[in-house]
Amino acid sequence: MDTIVDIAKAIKIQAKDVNVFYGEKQALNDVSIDIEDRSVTAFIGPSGCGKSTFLRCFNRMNDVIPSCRVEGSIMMGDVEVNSPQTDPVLLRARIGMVFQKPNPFPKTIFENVAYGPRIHGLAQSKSELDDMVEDSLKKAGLWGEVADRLADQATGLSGGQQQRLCIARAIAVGPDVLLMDEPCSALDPIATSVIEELISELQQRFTILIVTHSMQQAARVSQKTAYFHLGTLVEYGDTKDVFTLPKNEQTEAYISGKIG
Amino acid sequence: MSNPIEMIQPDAETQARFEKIAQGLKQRHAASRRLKTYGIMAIVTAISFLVILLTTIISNGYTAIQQTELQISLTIPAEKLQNDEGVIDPVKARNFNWNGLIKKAFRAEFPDVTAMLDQRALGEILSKNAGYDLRRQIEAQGAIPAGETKLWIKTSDDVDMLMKGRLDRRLDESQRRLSDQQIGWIDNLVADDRIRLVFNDTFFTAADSREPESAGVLGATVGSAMALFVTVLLALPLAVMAAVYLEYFAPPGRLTDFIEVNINNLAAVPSIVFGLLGLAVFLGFFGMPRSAPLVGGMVLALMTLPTIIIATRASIRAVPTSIRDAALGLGASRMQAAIDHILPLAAPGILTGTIIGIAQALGETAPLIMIGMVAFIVDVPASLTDPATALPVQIYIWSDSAERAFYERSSLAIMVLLAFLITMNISAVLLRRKFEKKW
Repeated sequence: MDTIVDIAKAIKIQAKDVNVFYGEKQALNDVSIDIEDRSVTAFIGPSGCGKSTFLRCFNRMNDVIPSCRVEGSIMMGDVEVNSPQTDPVLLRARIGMVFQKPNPFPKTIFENVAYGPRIHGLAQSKSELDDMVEDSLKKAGLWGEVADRLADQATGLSGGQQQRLCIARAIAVGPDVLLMDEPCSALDPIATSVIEELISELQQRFTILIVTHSMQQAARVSQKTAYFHLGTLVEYGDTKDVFTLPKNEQTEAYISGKIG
Repeated sequence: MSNPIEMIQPDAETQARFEKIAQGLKQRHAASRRLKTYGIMAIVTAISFLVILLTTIISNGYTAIQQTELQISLTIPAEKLQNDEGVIDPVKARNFNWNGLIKKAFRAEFPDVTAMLDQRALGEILSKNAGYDLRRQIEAQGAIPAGETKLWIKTSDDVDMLMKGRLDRRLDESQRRLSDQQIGWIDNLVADDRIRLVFNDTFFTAADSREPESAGVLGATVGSAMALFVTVLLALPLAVMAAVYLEYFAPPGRLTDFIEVNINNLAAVPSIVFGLLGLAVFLGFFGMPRSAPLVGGMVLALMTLPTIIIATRASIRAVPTSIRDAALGLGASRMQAAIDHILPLAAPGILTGTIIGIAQALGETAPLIMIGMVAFIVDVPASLTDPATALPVQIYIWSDSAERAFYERSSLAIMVLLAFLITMNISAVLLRRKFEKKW
């Protein structure tokens, strides 16, 4: 049954020979990977292995770093992400991102979620915007907790709530891909498990790429796992295979806790 | 009562290491105490200098808050001032010899003073502008008092100084600005209760004058305010835009580095150089009016620009990059990220930087001298292109004057300037507190 589903899943993003340089230093070496549609792909590996750098290639967030240069091809549908002709603004509307540390704007809860639809001109009226905010907060599993205090400062929420607000803010724009850069590293175990459940739900609508330090988390939430080491993609496959029968020695060493 | 618990002692090597650390501790604590003492000494020194400065200014200037007046009884000839309807005619009032009227009335009280020189000495007790003051007083009342009336008239600055104890009676007569004879008259007037010290409202309602008793800071204050208005209007938007560009849009490279280095250099350029620049460019090339607050404000804007740019860039950088990332990650353009999120968060810092820059500009004299704002101007400026002077320049002009009475007035003007500066700095702190957000 699993096998059939796996085959049925289409490829959403195809990265080919991606190289990233920070000035003279090469951070990623010829990374090629096919990302499946509506699945969770986890990027794991020791610190400094390039997994976050790789994640930021998908929505061109590396553009912000002046010394950073990205080579290679990342195709999403018929869009070449890495082409200078591709507008990063449009790209980031299609690919949402959730960061390591919850980073709500120091504004109200409503304003945080409404900001994306507002700048992209997605809502025609106030009531439509209200609906979008409510819908996004519901999808992020936060509506029940904040419905009666949308006008409160977002910074007053707990860490886990803030992170779910950031997820709601990202999906309010209506992307089809979500990038998550260690979304639970600043959260306690209970908030983490709430976010993990949420990721499993969101997977039905979105293609999710998640960078994580926690191998248990990768095992729990992802269908595919990619193991990075020193800027190279060492192993990539179904999560259950990577964790039970790693083909590569380095992967095995990392997963079993010998390095990392 | 309870059994003593046997504790494990550390081994000899550990014990020796602890003892070694303990030996050094005394010296380390002494070093930090010494550093603390140096710090306290530095602060005490700074504060005592400040106290000396303020005490000097206040003790020199507080007397200027009062002005000496003399009571005179005189009859104003209504028929020479009114037109047929019994209303004061402005032309007649202007042409009337008010000074002569006052002097005549004052001389009449001293019938035994007949010699011409003595009469002149008597006239020196009165302010040279007494006639002008009286006309303004009558015009403001709109009616001429009938018959003989008692009026208070300003005395000359020398009498003012004598009354305030700033003229030493023990000096030899030839060294004094008032003769023994004049002092005698004044003492008699004091004995008759006809000399009083009143609040010096002229100081806060008039512009400059050759006579200290008629001089005020309003002209200079308005001039300063106008110049600063122009400064804020020009410097704030230019500086914020320049800072945003440099932080977010400027492509890294030699040109950007060159611009950055030069902005920092500009902040260190002596202010008089900006004055010379203003003289050459604004007055010389563009032919703008001399002594105008508009030009003064433009020169001060040039001078303030680097300060605000540097403060703005620093406060933009202080906004966590996570906020910028959040906005960009949602698909905001760089400009939207800057305007919607970063500038509002940087606003308290920008505001503080601006107010500090403006406060600096308020105290600036040299560039204003270069563009002619050092002129002697008796009118309060009504527009940005009227000739005007500024508070620090006014202080400079007065401190340079020979009259003793200008000396106390310049100290009072310094207090006015300081009050402005303190108000601005307090408002900077308050605004910062009000707008500061936490994240």
